Amino acid sequence: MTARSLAAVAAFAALSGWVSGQGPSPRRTADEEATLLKKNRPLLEGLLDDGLKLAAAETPLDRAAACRAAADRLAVELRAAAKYEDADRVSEIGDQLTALLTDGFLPPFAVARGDIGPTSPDFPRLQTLHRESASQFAAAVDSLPTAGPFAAGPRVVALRQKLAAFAEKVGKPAE
Amino acid sequence: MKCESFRNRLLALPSPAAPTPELVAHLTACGGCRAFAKRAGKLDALVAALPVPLSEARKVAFVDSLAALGPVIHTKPTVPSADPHSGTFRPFRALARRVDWRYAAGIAATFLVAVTAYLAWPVGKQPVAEKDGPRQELLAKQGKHLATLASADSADARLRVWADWTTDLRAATADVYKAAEPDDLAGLERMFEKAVRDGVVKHAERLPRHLPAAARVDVLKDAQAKMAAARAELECLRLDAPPAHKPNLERMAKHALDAQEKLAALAGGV
Repeated sequence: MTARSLAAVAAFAALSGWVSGQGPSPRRTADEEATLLKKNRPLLEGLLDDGLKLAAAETPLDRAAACRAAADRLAVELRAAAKYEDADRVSEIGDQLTALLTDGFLPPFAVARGDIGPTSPDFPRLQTLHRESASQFAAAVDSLPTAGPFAAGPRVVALRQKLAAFAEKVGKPAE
Repeated sequence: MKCESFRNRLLALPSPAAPTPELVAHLTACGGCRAFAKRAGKLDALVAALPVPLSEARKVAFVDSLAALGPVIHTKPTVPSADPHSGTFRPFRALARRVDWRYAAGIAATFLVAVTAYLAWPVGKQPVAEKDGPRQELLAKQGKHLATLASADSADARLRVWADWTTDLRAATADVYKAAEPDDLAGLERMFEKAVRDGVVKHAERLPRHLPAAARVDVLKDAQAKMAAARAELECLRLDAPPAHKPNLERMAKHALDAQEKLAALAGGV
């Protein structure tokens, strides 16, 4: 077979793959956007307030605490979605929660743990934050059902694994 | 000429009694064939003397009597055609001549590899991917802003985040300003106002004095440009918004204008 023939076959295969990979247009109508806004508005307003508090936090410990508060808001939403077995909502909020914990909470928390020693006046607050965070992550994992078709769905399984891995990464504070 | 050939040719003639000169040469030299020719001529004469049906009615009766005996040949034998350009497969043979078999072989190989890979893939061991439902872009962007703010340890970094946040709120407003319910648009207005007043303006005012002038002007002008863009778009949206939504959009544009003026003042009237 010549190089030309191989190129033709490769182009055919690439074109087939590209065509089959095309999804529907991501652009939504104004009505669909309005529906999403109605569903998310309380959460959006709450997260914006959390953002204002986060921006006002001066120390890494304060920023980690503010992030945890925002994560708590998402965890409440996650519990509600899990209760109604809304897999789409669980997936969306779960992604937001894990992203906020990984990219928002963890960096300042790690800095605070490095900066604040047992003799520091902030140490008890750090311990409290650590303990509350650990229980928060455990509660988020527990909010996801473990039995039934909904619990066995790949997105729910993946989210439970991600949250459990994160909880393990943060660990529990030394008593 | 051999005797067998002579006899076949003799029987093929219209009348064995009138052989061709070529056959006559053999006939004179072969006694066996002379006797054969004599018997053939006699048989020919006897066949010609056989009685034949004399009328159409008798022919029909004769054919009917044969038909009543049932079919003599029960299956029709299929004789393969010696001519490759005729018969049932003629269109396929013509098509086969036009196909470039190198390409066909390449496509067949690709198909074979794809099918093999598909069958070999451990589909049964992995859950089938579920498709996500509709997700709101603003919610995802707010999550990113929160994460960015968590690592933003300076006022100028926070100011940039809030300037971007107001841009996202303005874009979300543009998506729904005709279709949103009044409460929801009012919610967007509240968020925009907070983001502008408590986010952009507040953190602009907190910019440290020791920040280099160029950096200070740069961040303020960036935020100022975003406020100006927000105001311009919100004023445009107001023009064709439903009457109930016009006041919300007008107030949002006013918040953006106020912030724009404060940022200009902080930047030293630039």
